[in-house]
Amino acid sequence: MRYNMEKLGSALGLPDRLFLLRDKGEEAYPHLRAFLGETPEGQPLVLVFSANQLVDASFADESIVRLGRELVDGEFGQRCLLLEGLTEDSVHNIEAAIHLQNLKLAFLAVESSGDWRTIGHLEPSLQQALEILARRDRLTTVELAELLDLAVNTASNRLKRLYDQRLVRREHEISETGLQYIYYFWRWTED
Amino acid sequence: MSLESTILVPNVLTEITALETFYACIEQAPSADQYVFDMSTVGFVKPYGVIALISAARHLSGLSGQPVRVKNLAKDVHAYLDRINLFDVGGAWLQSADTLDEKWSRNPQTVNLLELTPITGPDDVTSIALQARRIFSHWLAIKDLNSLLNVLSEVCANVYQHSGDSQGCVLIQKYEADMRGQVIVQVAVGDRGCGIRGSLASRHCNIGEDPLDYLKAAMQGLSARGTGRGGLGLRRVEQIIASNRGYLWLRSETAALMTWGPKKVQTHERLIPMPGTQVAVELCAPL
Repeated sequence: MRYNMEKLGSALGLPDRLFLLRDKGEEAYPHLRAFLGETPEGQPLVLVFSANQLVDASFADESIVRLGRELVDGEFGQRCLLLEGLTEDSVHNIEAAIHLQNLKLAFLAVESSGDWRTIGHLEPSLQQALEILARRDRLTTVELAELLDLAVNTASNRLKRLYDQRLVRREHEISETGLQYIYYFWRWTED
Repeated sequence: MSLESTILVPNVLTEITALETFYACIEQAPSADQYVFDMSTVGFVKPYGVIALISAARHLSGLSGQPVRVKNLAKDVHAYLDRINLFDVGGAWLQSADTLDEKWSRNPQTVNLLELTPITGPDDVTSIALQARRIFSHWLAIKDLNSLLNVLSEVCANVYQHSGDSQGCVLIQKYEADMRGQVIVQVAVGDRGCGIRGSLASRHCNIGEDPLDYLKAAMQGLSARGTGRGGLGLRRVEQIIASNRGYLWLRSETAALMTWGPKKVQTHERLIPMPGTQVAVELCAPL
């Protein structure tokens, strides 16, 4: 599901492309929360920002970061928030909102071209696993363990932590060897 | 018989720390029915000086019940104060005793400043940000313009969110430092509300005895909000001024601090008591 943030900005009476102020973030929050709740399970809500926008740290904290914390708390099941088209200045502000509060929280900043990057806090080992998963689209614990020459428990832990942050989604299957999770990278472009 | 008290305003309305001598004059002013600012020595005024003039005038007009009369203004100083709408926005507290010649009247086409603008709520701040974007996009690259907008939204929001004063205001001025090939943008914001201590003490009772303790707590992210979220604004401003080779001056009651970035902080204590909070921010950008 995709949502154009300009629409929300207009509804909140925000100036063109400026997402400023904690109050306005507070007003935006219930709308975004509702959109996220309406997003089908297993799919991302893509917030689409227009060019040259600015999201300040306080607006981000009260809306995007707050929802991110709730996603990690498991309030939205297998859904996620993808942030499309953010400017560098908006990225810096969202990262400031995360780092200044020492939050262990990361988002996927994506582009319509298919490019992506993480913003916020993500340990290098998890970043590495995420990049591998993004390249392969799907990954199991055993596959990651083999690729990185890791113990299966370590690989399992890394993928689980990515899942807990809702940076990936997962499905399970029951095989002869027992329950196995298959992890998937989120998709936001139409192939 | 009406008692008039004239205060000779020292020529310090450009220097943040030297402005304390002006506040000292205000503190020492005798009781009067009418206060007068004699501006004969004032050669130049910067945004933070304007905020200081307003703070002082609000204090004195509160005592006398009359707006402070401003006299002996140099023509260019008078033209500047007129240009920034000082005598309109601050008309309840300051009135010019001099007449401005037509030839000195404002040029509304200049795009160097955002006039003195009241801050009463979020819509004022978004409007201020929009105007600032229009005005300063002539001078600043997108990145620097966004730094300015970030600073504005954070420092202006504190006025209506925390001070309890509905008459706070902001002024922005751009200067060119040709020799250094830089644009310098100064933002000044002031209110006469509850101050940083008054705001934080409503929720945190064990910060310390001194107003400076509260300023430090605010810069460390302590917030008066009950939601558990907040406390980002000043720290984000501090990060931004550090990357724009600027500074943040934060003054409340008898304390102040000047920061050039995290861990580059100078503190000031036992200043002249001044209610509310006064903020100055300077940002530098390539010309």
